[in-house]
Amino acid sequence: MPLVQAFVFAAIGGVFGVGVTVAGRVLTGREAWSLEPVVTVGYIFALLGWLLGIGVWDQWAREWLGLPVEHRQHRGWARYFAFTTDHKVVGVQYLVTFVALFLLAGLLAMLIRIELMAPGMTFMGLGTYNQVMSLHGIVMVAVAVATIIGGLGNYTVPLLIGAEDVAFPRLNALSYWLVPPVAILLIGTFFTGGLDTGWTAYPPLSDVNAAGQVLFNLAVITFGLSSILGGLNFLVTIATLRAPGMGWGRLPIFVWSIFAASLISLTATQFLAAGLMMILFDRLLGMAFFRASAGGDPLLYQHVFWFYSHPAVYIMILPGFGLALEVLSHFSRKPLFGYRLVPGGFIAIVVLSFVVWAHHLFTSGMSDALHGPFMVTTELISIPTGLVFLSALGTLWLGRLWLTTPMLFGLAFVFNFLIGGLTGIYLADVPTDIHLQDTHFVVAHFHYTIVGGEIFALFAGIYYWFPKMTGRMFSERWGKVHFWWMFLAYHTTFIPMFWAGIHGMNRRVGDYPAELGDVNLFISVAAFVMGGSFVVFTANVVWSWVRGPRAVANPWRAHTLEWQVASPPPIENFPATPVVVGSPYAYGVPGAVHAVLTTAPAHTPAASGGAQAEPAGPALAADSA
Amino acid sequence: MKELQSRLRLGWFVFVALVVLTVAEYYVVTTSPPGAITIAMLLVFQFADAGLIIWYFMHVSQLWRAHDAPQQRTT
Amino acid sequence: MPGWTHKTDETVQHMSDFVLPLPKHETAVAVHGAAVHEHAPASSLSRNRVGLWWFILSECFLFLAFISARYYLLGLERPAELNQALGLGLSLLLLVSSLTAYRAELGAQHGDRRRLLRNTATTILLGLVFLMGVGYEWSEALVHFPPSEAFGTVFFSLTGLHAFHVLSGVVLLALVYWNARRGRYDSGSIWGVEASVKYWHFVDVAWVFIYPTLYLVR
Repeated sequence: MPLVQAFVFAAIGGVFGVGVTVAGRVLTGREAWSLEPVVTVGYIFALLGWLLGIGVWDQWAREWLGLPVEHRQHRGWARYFAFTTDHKVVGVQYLVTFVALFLLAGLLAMLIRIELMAPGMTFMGLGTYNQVMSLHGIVMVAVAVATIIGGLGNYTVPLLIGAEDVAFPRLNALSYWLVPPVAILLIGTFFTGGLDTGWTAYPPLSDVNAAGQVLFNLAVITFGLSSILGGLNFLVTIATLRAPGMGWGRLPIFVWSIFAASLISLTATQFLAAGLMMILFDRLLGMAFFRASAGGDPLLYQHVFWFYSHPAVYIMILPGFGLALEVLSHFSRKPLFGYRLVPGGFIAIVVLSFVVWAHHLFTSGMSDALHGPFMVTTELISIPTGLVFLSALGTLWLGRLWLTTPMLFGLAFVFNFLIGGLTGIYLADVPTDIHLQDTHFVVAHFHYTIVGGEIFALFAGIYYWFPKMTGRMFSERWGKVHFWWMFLAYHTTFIPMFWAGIHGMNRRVGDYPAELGDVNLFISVAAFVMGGSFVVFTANVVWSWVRGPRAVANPWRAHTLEWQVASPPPIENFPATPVVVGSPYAYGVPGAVHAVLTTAPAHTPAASGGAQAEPAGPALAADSA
Repeated sequence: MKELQSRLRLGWFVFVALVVLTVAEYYVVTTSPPGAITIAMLLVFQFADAGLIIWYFMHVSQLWRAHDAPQQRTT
Repeated sequence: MPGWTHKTDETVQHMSDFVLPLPKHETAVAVHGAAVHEHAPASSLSRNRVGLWWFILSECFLFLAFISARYYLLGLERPAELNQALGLGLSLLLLVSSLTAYRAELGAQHGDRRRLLRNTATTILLGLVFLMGVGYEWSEALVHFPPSEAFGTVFFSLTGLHAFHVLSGVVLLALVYWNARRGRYDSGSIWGVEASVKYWHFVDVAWVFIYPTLYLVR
């Protein structure tokens, strides 16, 4: 019962932390109880207790003291609720958690749209609206950062590179188990005065508002730690655990995209943590980072924050690029066009993403001299992004498109992201941005890139790897219903937002001028229809996971390594280390082989379900010409 | 043992260099007039200090010599 | 079963038979049984090293954020009340501790337990003296530039952040000492020593940049 143990340890830690703080305050002659410092120190110790209890003590920390560690591996259902080191289990943990959070935060979006159906405050008060809007924002940002990398990345990257697991399996489990405390803290904001600064937490408001802000900051710092450790693990895994023959020039493009995104999450995330820590220092220790009256400057926060948060949109979208290209190549039955250029594009995006942050500050009052340079660097990013687009279109060109559900989502990615990218130009250009800043035009733009881009790619990936992860086939018919429903409702929802934004519809505010009532009613109805599409998705996935027909090892006849083992793969992934001899995308090339797998004699099929294994003997990842 | 002696000696050399650099840094910055040249010298001192520690004490070159490096333990 | 329609393998096979004119390098990659570009997955030691270095790089960005805050809020301005002698002394102290940490690692590598123990203990001691120095410095700083004004804010947050790292380094070295006393580095992996010592050097490198940022720049 690791979960019970974790809660008990967390409670002990929390009580200890609270006790230490209260005792310290009394000893230094202050009032015994003050919510914010008590909560902060209590949480830090509760978090330590939680981690030790869930398995860090049993499986890891004992080693540091020279004690024997337990290598207890749970079986069956229990392993999903324990400190499990198998990357496939961690991937499923991430994926299920964050898809659930995605649906919950989607419900919050529905609440927002109910309020915005008519001008005036009709459904909830302005304060409640701020809380709902802030929580929708931060949860969706967490979903966008962690679902593809933590979920699909964890599950597939070791398989795609022919490894047995990630480089640091225990660190991987730790990154996942840092997430539940984040969720608990975010729920806790409701009971400590709420959270009303949006996901960006700008001071001066965040320096002075209710104690919910402290919980939010602690939650996001914890989540950042999880994201940093996760990124570190991917970087080391990809750099050191590739199968023999899997050179950098043969990596599947999804792996490349995860590598690039991990570079950002490893480094830039520290700036988010730093910014939020500065707010905590201001509030708890009376420091003056953002208090202009004492020599601080609130604009400093915006610089620090966006130094993380602009690169962070590439943490979100780069794996989306990788996933879309991966799916497009497999389902066009063609080699990926410009394979050698795309990783260069990814790395160029990573580098450029660090020098564009101030385009979020064009109307903030920062020095005018910074406008020009940041406009130019921002627009430079369209060059490597264009390279990725070229690769997508070149792959589709003259391909034999196999229009399965994942392929439809992959194609929609290309279409949606084009709109998202083009509307971004108006926000990068100073003259137009000064008009559009903080309107629904911005809302529509980033929903086009993140929902239309990343979330559509995420669904492509979920459908693409669903047979591999569950050993079951999903319903292709209902998958297509989900796709068309979501695709059409999505555009009906977000296209009018551009119009509303140009006509002065502010973002983040629960009320608006009466003349924008009609367009908002239209958007709301469309949004509800879009929300309905996820019922189809959830029903299809849950039903198929339980009752769907068994999946064969390689239903898509793809070349990459994960499809050459049973569905779901056995715990050790490959019976023997595969040897990579060629490109992963050599579709239509007679006799082309990606990898050679040998079946070890002692190998028994997967323990995790009676999946159909690949027939015995050497399995060649090839088109039999 | 000969190797151990030479590496112990190397440690002392690096240490002395670090101390000299740090004291020189202090001296130069506090005596020279404020301005771009002082800042530039300060940067040179900082990166020289950091570089010595990273190269000789943290053995950064292990990263790209990882494959042909000898065993961790040398006895 | 209606609803579960999937293309049969024959259909897919037919699709993939569509051979496209490929650029030369694409076909060249796909040579059957060509000489494998050999590289074996790395050993666990070099995996750990790579991981530690990535971690150190990540930490650099945390310090970088606070260092940039100093320049953003104050430019090159610094108060005259800074205790310059103490600042220089603390820097030299950390340099000495880096030397002893280096010698501790050498001891572990050469199976010399006494050298390892002696130098680890010295390093821990120097770390504790450093922390006491920071404490003394804080008591002075509280008078001249309290944390409620701009220079105090950057001074206390930067030194505090660094002191926290020193403290965690001391804890790591204490673990090393505990394990070394029990002879756990006499045979087998000494990764624990190597990692703690590298972390300690990193804390020193961080100070190499923090010291001029707070005391010298003008």
